[in-house]
Amino acid sequence: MNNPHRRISPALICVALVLVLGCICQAEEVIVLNSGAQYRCRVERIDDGKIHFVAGGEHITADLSNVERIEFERTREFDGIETAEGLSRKSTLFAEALAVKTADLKAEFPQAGYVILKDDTVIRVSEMNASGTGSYTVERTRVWKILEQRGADVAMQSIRFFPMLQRPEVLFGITVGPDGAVARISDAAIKDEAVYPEHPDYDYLHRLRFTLKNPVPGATLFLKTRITGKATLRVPLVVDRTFWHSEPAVRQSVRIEAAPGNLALVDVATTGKIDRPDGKDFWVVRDAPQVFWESLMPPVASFAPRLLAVYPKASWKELPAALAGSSTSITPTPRAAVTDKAPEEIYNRVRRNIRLVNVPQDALPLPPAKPAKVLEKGYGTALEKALVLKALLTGQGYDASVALAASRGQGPFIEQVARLKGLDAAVVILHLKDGGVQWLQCDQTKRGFGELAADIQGSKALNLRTGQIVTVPVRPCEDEHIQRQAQVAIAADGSAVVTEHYALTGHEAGRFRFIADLSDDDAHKWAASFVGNNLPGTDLIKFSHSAFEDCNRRETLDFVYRVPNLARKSGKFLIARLPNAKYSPVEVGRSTRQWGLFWKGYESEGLKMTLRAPSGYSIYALPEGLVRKEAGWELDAGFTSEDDGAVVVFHENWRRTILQAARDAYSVYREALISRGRLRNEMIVFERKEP
Amino acid sequence: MKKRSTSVRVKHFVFVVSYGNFRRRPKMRKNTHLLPALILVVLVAGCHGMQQQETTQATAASTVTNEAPLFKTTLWNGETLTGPVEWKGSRVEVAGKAVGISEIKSIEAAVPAAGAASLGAQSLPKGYRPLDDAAFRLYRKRAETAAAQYRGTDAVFCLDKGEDLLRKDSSSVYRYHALFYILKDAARKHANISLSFTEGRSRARVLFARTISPDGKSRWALPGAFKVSVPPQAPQFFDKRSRVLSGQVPGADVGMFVEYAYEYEDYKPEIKDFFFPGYYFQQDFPVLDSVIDIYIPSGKRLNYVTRNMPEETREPLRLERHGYEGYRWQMHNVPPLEPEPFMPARTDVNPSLHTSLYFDWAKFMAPTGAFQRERVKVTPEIAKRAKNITAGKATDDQKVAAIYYWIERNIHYLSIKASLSSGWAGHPASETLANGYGDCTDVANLMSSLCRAVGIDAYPAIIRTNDSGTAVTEIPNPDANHAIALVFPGGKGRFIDPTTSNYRYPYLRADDHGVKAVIYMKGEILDVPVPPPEDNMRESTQEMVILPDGSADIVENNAYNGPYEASVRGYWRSVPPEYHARVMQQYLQQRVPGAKLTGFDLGDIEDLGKQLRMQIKYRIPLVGTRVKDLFIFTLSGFQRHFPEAVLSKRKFDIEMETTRCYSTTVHLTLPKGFDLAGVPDGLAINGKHLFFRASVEKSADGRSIVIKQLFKRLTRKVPAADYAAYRENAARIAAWTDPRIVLRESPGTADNEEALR
Repeated sequence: MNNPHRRISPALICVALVLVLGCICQAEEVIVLNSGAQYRCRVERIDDGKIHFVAGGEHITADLSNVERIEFERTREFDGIETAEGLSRKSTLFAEALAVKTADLKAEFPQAGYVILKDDTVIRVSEMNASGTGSYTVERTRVWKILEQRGADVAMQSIRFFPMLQRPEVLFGITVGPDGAVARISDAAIKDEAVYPEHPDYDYLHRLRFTLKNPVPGATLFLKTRITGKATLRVPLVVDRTFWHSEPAVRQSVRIEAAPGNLALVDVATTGKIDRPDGKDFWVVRDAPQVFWESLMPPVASFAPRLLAVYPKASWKELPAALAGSSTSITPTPRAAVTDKAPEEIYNRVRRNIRLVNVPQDALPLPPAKPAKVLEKGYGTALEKALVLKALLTGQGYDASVALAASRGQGPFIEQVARLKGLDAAVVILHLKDGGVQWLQCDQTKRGFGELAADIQGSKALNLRTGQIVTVPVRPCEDEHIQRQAQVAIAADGSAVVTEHYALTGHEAGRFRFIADLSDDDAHKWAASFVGNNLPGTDLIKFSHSAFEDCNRRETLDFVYRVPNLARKSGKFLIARLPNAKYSPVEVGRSTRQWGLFWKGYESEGLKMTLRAPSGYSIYALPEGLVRKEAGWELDAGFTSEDDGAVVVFHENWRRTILQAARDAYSVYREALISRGRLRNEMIVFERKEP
Repeated sequence: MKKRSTSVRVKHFVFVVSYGNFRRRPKMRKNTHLLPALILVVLVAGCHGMQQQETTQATAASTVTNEAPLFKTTLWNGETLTGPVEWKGSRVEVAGKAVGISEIKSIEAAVPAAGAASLGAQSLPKGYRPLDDAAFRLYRKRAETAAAQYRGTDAVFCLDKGEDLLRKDSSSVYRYHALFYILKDAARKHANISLSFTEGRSRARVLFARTISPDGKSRWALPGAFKVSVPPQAPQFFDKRSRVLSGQVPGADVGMFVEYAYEYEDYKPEIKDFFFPGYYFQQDFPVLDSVIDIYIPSGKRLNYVTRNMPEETREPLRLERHGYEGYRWQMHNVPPLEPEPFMPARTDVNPSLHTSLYFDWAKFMAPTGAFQRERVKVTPEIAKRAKNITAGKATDDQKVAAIYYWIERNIHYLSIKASLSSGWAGHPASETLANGYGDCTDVANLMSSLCRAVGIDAYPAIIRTNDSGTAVTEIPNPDANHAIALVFPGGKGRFIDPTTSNYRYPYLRADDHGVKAVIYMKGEILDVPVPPPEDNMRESTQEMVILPDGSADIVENNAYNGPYEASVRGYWRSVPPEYHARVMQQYLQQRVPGAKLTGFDLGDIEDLGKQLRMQIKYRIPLVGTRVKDLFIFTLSGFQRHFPEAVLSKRKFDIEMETTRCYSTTVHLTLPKGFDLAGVPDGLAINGKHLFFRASVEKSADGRSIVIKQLFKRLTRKVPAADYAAYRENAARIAAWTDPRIVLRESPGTADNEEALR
């Protein structure tokens, strides 16, 4: 009744299972039977409804009707060469890499998990045809040497592609182990998968994932891939290579090959130092250092050598039309959809009623859907939502345009080379009737009117109406502010009741809008954790908040909670600390740093806490306050007493109004934050008055 | 805790591997939509009546026919050919066309595609057609009442109905019908439908889907709204046969209802009677009607167990239909599950049903045991490697440890699943050895095989990790998500988990503690013990010298073992040495603003067999608050935190991965010119779940003190009934471990005062 192999004769199964262990990597095929059994083996023949295969040197025959499938290994370059010596004889690629000793590399790169020995890219481009389509191939050959176990993940690689336009291939993937053993990539470890399958309308981008075998310290990994594709202005070939990485690289190169006339179709820009040893279409970077991450670090692309090449070449003014496509206007006006509404009302309608499909624009080879279609569907990408908003605003008589912004985290915007890739955020520029300009980003359901993601503030954007590059404004501090006020009533037993109010704007408000999704019960539990996580035993008495689903310009949170041990008695003293005010300046842990400072958006916080001592106590003495004022930030904090010492008031105001700073500004910035943390941790000592 | 959606059903297991686990993931039986009665012409498939389906499936699943079987041959250039296959020498003839073997990517038995068929709504199975107006109005009224009752809920789940049918040819079909009332933006996700299935074995079809607006108008999903794709996985996972049918119901918005039905069919089961329907009846939002029907051919018996279900709902209603026997379980007006931090897995608190056709564990274990037996066999390559690894090791324990460390270092985590046998029992040990990669099943086989090669008995053991709920072992059921190994060094059984990279032998991964282990090859179910707190420990001694200027020099020596050691070691091994001091400096900054690292020694973290010890030296520029003649400070890194005890009351038990122990001793040298004016008294707590001993000892000359704490979390579960006492003890411990140490300036020490200012 329960025989799992009922579809194949028991005797055969016994033989086959005995043999399965013998047929390992040398075997070429995988057979899966209907019973779920799986074999690695070599098929001899299929005839007369039977399959004959060899496993571990034994010949096996099975009914073909019991076979679910047979999977084959693809033949690849250098197949059949079983030794490191053989590979070295066959190609200098192997000979040179295998001549490098692991011990020497470890001595030279003691911090490295692996070393990139070689990373050579050859791009071949063709002539454009009359319809503006060209073809290309990109071949990339990479060699890594793994030095530590933490470097083993380099064996896992992937290529993103559009199946309708591109075809990626693994030409070979070979591992030479520290003992000289050769292992080849298996097709079982190569998978073509969709990146956004949950959205059928947007399911275009695929990823070919693969993993090389035996990635152990001392192993050398060789990988060659090829992408063959078609390029248009809408979906060009973009090679954007930053040459410094988290691991060292001995040699990297990019070569572009084309007939001279066709090379003019490629637009190229470089930053940093890149050698061009034999002509203008060959770039080489040798001995790229290992980049160590540090907090508040600017993007690597802002200080490392970088090459940007786009085929076919375009101008910024051409791109909006290329994005829209020939059949889709990006400015239809479904005027009837909204009538006589203020911009904020229109914005809220789009924000709320059109679900965001979180697929980046450069994952779509097709033009955005028409606004009317998006309104009908009820969902769309960030760009499609922006186009709807723009259309509705225009329909109301407003002057509005859409811009695509490149987040600052990608590194400096290279304006010399026009391309859509990397323009990953959509905003609407609204010209108000009073002459003002309002920037709107309506992608997220919980982003309020006028709020902008921190990482696009100060970034460059392509205005799709004018084809010009514009700068996204940075919102002022008061629009990105968190203000806390707390009244702390301390009882004689050291417990305290805290009444705390938060007023929040901008992305500080956005951090808490998830509460709108919680049930009342869940929200209360969240609040209990929020106030009690660092004050064990705390009981939340009351919690309320503004209507976050409305995305108000100013959001509020209100808590009342009781802390059992806020103050401790020590003789006649009662010693307390500010509740939930600990500030840890972890971002400035190091006393020195390698790179400059980089932030996303401005920062602004105000804190005022009023502590009332129990009856009979007054302040014993107060710690000193501090004031720091620099070009990009300012801090003012301190303690004062009121009501004959029965009340202590702590205040702190912090503002940062720059987005980046040079490395030499770090020490002053660091000292300010450490002082801030220290002051918030100060003990507050009340003394019991003698009767 | 994040909210999540809807009904989780257990049925056909699929193996989803994530970081060391192979996971038998219950398929999500959820939203799908509608086929409008009129438009619905094409969307779905084979919803013929049951009789007709049986006929169809009997043909599809038949094993031997006189005709040559049809195969779909896929070439590397993307071309596909369908027809009989003949293969001689280096050529294959497919559908009359000769192709070279090197051109072929795969040859697969031809099967029906997912989502093919054409039927009108009237042909949909009864119970899986759109609700009629009267039924809908009734639900609407009930939903509005529930919305008022459960304030803030983002949806009301009106109908949550499933039906599992095992056909006589052992194929099976599952149908599902849902109706949601959307109350918040967040619940619009219920209009997303995503159905997983396995290419070549199963398929999924949306029967119909629609949104119903407040004015009662329906908007139907069109056939093109759903599409089959190969879903993405994390980089370590290669399940190339997995597919997903996904799409959205258009127009879903707050105030609307979403209704859909779908069908999932296992048309080619690997093993007869591997049929394990299950059902979860509770969600994060209220559920009005939750119903599961299970049909099996007459003459078969259904074994079942329920968990957390009210007594009156535990026994099924019996049904009958066309030679099939039916069982119905149902719950009505189920309140939302209100999650709490550190609660047990939802599957452990949710009212649930688990079933099986097996009554005998031995019969159930036989197929998997057979697969495993073959996969752990000792081949010449295994024997050679085992001999090499264990060379010079005298005892069994030393040999097992050597093999364990070799696997930790040399087998990269990678999960490739291509069949039932590779999913459930992994790959042969010799294959994993050759590839240098594998997942938990693979390394459990390899560990077992290498041990056997040196004469130590060993077996793969299948478990469900303790962070993912309690495995169903009341009835024979393949409920698991991970594989470990049971080894017998010196003849004594011990569980070890080779799906790790940083553990010191013989400590066991924390999420393996306290679970059931199924040893298929031995036909046994064993308990994996929960180790004592001392096996998951940090022992710390700190020398703290406070200087007259208020600064302090601290030397901290820590030693670790168990999961604690593995997590610390794993972190430090994952980053370059250059980062070590940087990271520690940042960590110190978190403890005390301004702290400066002056020395840091991690020892040889790459030596997995050596206990991890760490020395940290640092200086704090101003260790505390100086006001008038007082100098007050606390101890950094000394406080115990209890995030599990933030709620005033709990409904659910607390559940952690395992026990834990901290032993900390601080030797504190006082600055000259100051006397000790206040330190806390000792504290002793001997609770059911928490043990704590703390003391302060002063030296005879009053110039130094020794502060000690010994903390043990004795259990990994705290029943809700014990919570109040647990929380009170936790608060006392937390307060004590954040002490206020008060020094007072000695009379006549103006120099010191000057130094402190």
